[in-house]
Amino acid sequence: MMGSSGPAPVSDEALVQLAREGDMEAFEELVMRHADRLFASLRRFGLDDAEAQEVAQETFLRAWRALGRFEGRSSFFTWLYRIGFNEAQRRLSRRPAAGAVVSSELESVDEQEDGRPGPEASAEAQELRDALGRALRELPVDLRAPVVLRDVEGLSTREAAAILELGEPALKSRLHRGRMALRRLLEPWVTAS
Amino acid sequence: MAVSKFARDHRWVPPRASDYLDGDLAPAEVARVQRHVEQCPQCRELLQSLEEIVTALGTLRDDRDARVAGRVVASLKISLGANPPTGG
Repeated sequence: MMGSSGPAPVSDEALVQLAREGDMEAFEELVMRHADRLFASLRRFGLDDAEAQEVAQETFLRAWRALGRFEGRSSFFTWLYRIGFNEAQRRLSRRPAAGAVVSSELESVDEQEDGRPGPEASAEAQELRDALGRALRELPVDLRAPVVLRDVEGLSTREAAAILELGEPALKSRLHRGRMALRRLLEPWVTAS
Repeated sequence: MAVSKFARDHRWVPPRASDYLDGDLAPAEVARVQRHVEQCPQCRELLQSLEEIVTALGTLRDDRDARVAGRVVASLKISLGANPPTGG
């Protein structure tokens, strides 16, 4: 991200403190640090590009307005994601259910593409990634969110639970159900040979 | 006896497969999973396939070519009425 020389980057916490005092430039730096990643997560969560950008903008606007209430009990990043994912979940749950099916009724994604496990490992890996993207969108929102945050974003169980305002056991349970549902959807790609 | 232990473990392992992969089981539980999957191709395949999925999900993180931060900053300035864009 940065060169090896020069001053150490200012921490999020320090920028938040400055922003709370009205320093818009400090807040802009926070936006520059986190907006792309938040946007990508929101897309992965199932929003289209336009929606994801709208939600990202809305998230930072709300964050700016609520900075005075941010107590720093979680990281700024976790707090930001909580705002963004809450809004995304609200939008997705209002949407006429495209992928909102119960896990047991999930249709294997290979039916959309006449699945053919390729012989070459790299091509197969790309196929799996493409299939994963589709399969993720098939998951019910409450299972998709833990999978996106934990497995795609690589957040810890604690961070993902904090963002989704769940206890850690509930987060783990949903994560496992989400992974199992993905496994059913991705059967042609992941069944050990 | 051995059969019933196998059956018990066969029911016990699948709900804990994610905890096993995430390193959230106690050492004795890890050993129980490992003992069982040595004898059970079905549970072994379950763990392998979940691990493969988790690994592949992690690669989706690299699909991040979008650059929206600049646009977010611009819209924020407009929304807040602070520092309006030059010429605006």
